[in-house]
Amino acid sequence: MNRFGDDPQPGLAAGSVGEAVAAISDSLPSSCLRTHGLGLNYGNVRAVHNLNLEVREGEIYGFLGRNGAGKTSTIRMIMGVIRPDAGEIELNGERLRRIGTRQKRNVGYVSQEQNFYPWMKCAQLGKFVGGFYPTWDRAEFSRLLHILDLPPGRRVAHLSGGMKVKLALALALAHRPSLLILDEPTSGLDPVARREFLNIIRQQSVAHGRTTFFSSHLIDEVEMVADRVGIIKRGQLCYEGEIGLLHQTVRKVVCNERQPADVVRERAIAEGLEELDGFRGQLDAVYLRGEPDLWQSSSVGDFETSPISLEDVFVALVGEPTPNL
Amino acid sequence: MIASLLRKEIRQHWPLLTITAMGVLGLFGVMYLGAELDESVSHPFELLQRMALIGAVILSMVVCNRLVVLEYQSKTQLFLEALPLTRAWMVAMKYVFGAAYVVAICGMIFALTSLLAVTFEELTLRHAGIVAMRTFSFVLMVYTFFFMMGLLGRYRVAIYILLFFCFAFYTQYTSRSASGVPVFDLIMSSKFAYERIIIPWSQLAITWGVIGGLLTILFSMALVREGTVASMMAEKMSYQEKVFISCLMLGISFFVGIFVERLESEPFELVGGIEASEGPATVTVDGIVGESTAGPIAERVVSAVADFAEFFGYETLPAAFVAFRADLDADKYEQGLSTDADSIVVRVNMSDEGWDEDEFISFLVRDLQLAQSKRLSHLEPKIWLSDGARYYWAAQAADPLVDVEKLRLRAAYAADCFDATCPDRWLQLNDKVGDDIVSAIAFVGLEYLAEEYGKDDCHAFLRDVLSNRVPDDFRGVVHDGLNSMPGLMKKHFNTSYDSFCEDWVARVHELAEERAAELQSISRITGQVSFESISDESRSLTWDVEVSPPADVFELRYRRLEGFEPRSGKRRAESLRYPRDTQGELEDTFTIGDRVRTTFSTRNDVLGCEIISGWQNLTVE
Repeated sequence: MNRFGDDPQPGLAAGSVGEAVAAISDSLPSSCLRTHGLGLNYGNVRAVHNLNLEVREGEIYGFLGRNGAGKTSTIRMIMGVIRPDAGEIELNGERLRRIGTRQKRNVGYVSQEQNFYPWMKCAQLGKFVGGFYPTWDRAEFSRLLHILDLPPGRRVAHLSGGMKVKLALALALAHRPSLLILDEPTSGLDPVARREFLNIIRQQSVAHGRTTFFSSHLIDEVEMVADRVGIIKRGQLCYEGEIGLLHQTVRKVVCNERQPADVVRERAIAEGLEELDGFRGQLDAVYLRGEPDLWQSSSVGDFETSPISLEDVFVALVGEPTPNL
Repeated sequence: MIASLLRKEIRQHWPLLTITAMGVLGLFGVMYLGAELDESVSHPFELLQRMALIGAVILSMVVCNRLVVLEYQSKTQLFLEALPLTRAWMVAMKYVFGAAYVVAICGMIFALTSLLAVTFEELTLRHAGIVAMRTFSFVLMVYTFFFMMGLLGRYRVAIYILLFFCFAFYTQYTSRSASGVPVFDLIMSSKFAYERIIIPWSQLAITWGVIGGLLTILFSMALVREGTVASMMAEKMSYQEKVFISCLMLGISFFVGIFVERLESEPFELVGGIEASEGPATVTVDGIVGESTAGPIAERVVSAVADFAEFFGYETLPAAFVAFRADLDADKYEQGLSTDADSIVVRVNMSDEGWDEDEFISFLVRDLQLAQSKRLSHLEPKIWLSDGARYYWAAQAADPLVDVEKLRLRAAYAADCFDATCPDRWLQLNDKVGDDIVSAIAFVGLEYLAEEYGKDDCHAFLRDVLSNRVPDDFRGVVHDGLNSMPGLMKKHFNTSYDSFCEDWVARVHELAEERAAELQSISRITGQVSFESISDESRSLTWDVEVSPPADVFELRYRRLEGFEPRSGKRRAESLRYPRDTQGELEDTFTIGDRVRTTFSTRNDVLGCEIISGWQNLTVE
């Protein structure tokens, strides 16, 4: 199942989306994490608004969005680090405004920046973190250190950026959490380290069937590992579903003398399709979005279309019109 | 979880915690040895008091800096926040850990001083409990304050400096001491070491109220806006911020120093007094003795005081109130208690036949000079100057107010007690020979300077030291250090202070040799007091005195001492006749643990002053 977010799709209220998701969810793997109308403001700035996302058990969920779209704020709310101004979080069937320490023990978390104690050695850090989790598995932590090629006796201060991320991953996995949350873990890593890290994520998900919530602004890495994606724009979810289906929802309609851009736009809007901001104003093509059913019934679907990459889809969805300089 | 956090804190901070613990214990050792050497501590708990004031403040500042500032500056609190641990719990754990450490160190000091106190007296549980309550409440308050300040991150140092200035200004401009603030009174009270019965509930309540308030602010800062306030505060200061805060602080200190007027306290009011003014001098004499008596006295005294002010270059002088007290001897002047720093009150018996106005003036000008200098001239080693200046000035007048020969004889009388170390231990010399004789010795020193280097240089030296040149703001703190006696001697006379002291001693001893024959006839008074048991707790005071050659009348003077106030307390005197009363027992009784200050004294007409056997501080056992 895939769906567009509440605001970008007029006519589908937040409640109706939630109800629709709930109705269909019985036939699908049960949810590990869900947010219900999550909202957060920083003063007058709306960081997250009416966010309804669903992460199913065992899947890797890619959480995509531009820098500042609200990804980290959403994750910090899910982790209970900050309290949402609105909405609730449902974790493993338990619905709360803010998750507490008990629920946190079932979550592994790798943050964007690794603020470890630099004086601690890897093994010491494991011992320290292990004190907070009753399910901490020392043997598993040692195994992870070994697999990830991390020397237990080395101080954190002497680890490279990539090694710190791996250490964070080992710390997040050693207590065998039901949900692993990764907040842009690969930012700052070189391409090789990034690829290596993504492989580990994929492997651990396959091997243990662990639910993984993976946030990034890099479409290719999400494409590599994620089963489903959620795309956030200005604090609102504008798409959630499988990556493959995303191709079917966004199309690039070629415009020429036979099918001028104005005519295409006019007809698309009349038939319930939406022009996307990312490439708005272009004369040679119009980027449109709509559910696959809508495309099938629409006459715009008969126009000449051009294949587009997932990155183009992403830009079309979350991008802004290019300013005229 | 708790164990994990505690292990982390210990592992992270053990080197610093060990060093600070050793440092504090070392400081205690130094203080203890210092107190043993100079006998400046009368009760072991006074050491605890000093340690709580100095050690606990330093300890808390260092510990909180490590526990709070380091955590937030390195942003490791973000790592902790992601763990299954609430922010409040994280802050509380840190607070409790640091508090336990600071209290434990202070507990060690308390235990050590208690052990010393046990050897000193029979320490009761209540006494120890009261001292412990005072100490630990204060220490916790200080620790909580520094913990809260730690959350202010980059602004904390600026706020420390600002608070220091505010405090200095408060004490400076309101003429109130720090011990007047209830939370400080708990630890700075002169009763700290000696209060055995009364629990200071009100001060304790205020202190715990302050702790509660600080904790509220502390947790608000740590938790408000999901801890982002404390995180933002911990960021390093930008260049613009540094410049702005520096300018702001400089601006505030200059503004307060220059524009804020010192708060004027209500002047003392002597109802029915006759007031006379001349230049900076104002003297009010009690009208109860009659306008015809009070008026002329006021006129003459104010004229002399104005002359004194001119001599020393004083542009302002505190007002003098001369109150009447009929039961005083003519040569006894009682300094009244005045909370007003801008005036002094003296009780005298100006209607007595033996009233010597010149002697009174030379006494009054010294008191005025002390008040004018905010008692800074009453600090060793400069105090001898203010003692000698009154006679030096009185001897310079066209019609001298004092008999210079008598002053020289007084100095010669005490030559045996005077050596080159005395100028730096002037109060001890004063205790041995009394006010009048010690002032005469100082006069001889100034007379020597005038003869050796010229009157003008001596006059300039006195004006430099005694006139009100001490800045009225925070600069006054360093003024004394920058204007030491050796430096002033070098500046005015191009001689070393040590060689002057040796010459001065030699001059006094020369006088003693020259006037040996006269001195033979002057009485010397010696005596001993002891305490006799009259019950388990009570003691009587018995004395044994000798005046040779005999004098008709002598006095046994005694005072009960309060803690930290060796020179205060209500003075009593027992008038006795010689030789009838050379041995006897006081009617007044004392309790074990009382501290009593005693001396025998008699008036000597040849010297024109009182001679004493020397003040003794005794503890009733």
